[in-house]
Amino acid sequence: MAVSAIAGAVAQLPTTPTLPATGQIGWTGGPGTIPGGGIPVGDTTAAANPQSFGQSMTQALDSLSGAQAKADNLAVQAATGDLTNVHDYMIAATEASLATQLTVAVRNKAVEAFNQIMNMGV
Amino acid sequence: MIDSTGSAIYAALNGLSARQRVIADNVANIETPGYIAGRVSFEDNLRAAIETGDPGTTSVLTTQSGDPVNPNGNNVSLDKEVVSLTDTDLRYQLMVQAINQKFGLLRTAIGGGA
Amino acid sequence: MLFPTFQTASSGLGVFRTWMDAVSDNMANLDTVRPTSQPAFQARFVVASPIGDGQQAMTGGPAGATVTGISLGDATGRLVSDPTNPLADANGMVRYPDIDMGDQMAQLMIAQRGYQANLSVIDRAKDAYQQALSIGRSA
Repeated sequence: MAVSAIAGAVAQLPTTPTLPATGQIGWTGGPGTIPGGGIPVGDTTAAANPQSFGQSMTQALDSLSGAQAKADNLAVQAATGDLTNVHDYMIAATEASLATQLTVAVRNKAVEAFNQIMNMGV
Repeated sequence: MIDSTGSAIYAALNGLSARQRVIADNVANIETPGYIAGRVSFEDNLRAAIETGDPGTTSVLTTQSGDPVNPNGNNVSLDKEVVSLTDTDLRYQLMVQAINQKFGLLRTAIGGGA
Repeated sequence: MLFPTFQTASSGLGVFRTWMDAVSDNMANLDTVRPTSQPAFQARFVVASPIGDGQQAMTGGPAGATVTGISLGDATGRLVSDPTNPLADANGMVRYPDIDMGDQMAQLMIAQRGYQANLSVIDRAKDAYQQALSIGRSA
């Protein structure tokens, strides 16, 4: 979903180093040891799993079709009278409906953003 | 526009409204001598039709109930009919919700607006 | 089963209805006289037993109660002296059924309560299911 893409982008921002405790002005360690941490050199965990927007959209569409299939399945069970819990179907139907609306909204915003970029003067 | 789920829901709606009519008939004849209560069954047919992949061909059957008869030949039991009517009513509402939800998804996708 | 509660309550309605029928049968025959050579009118007792084993009720399987039979009461009855009765034997005795009206009235009230209790189960369950059907509907 789009939210995880934003979370991925935030994870790539550098973390702020913590200040040393009081009574310890400056650092006494040699070069290379900053108390309280900092950005260790060579850390690529945040950069190792970036999600492109296309991957996020694909994930969103997959989960949407899963939600719709689940709602359809439960609807057929309800039609033949085999469903034990009515609320299972109602909740699945609501999830599918909301997921559809969310996906459509994300698509609309993406198209809008794309159009804005294309209309920018060079 | 209607996929196999939609036609299963449609078949259920037909079966349930047939059942409602037969229940009304039974209740109207609760004191008629010699009247045998009717029962509508479509669930088994629907299940079989879903297996073969074409729920639209479900047939709705009306049979006579095998309940024991009164001294005057009537075998309608008011308790059973009232409970069956409540059950049918709620299932009908559920099927209407289901078909509304399916059309709602299509409408959302077509409309494009959140 | 889509709404299992209704089937369960319906079976309960059947049991209490049969009980009320049995009590009305007993009360109608309070004064059924028989000669001493025959057994007295025997009181009707409804024998009920549960459906399923209780565990199945949780998953929507069969539950409730059913009437497994009618058992008959004491055949001896009460011997009453009534020489003017055409059915009286040589000693002027006839058999009356061994049915106590007070007892039958108490049973009738219990059966009626049971019937009403099952009706209210159906009513409440119907309300609950209708609430479930409105999940997700926008206000």
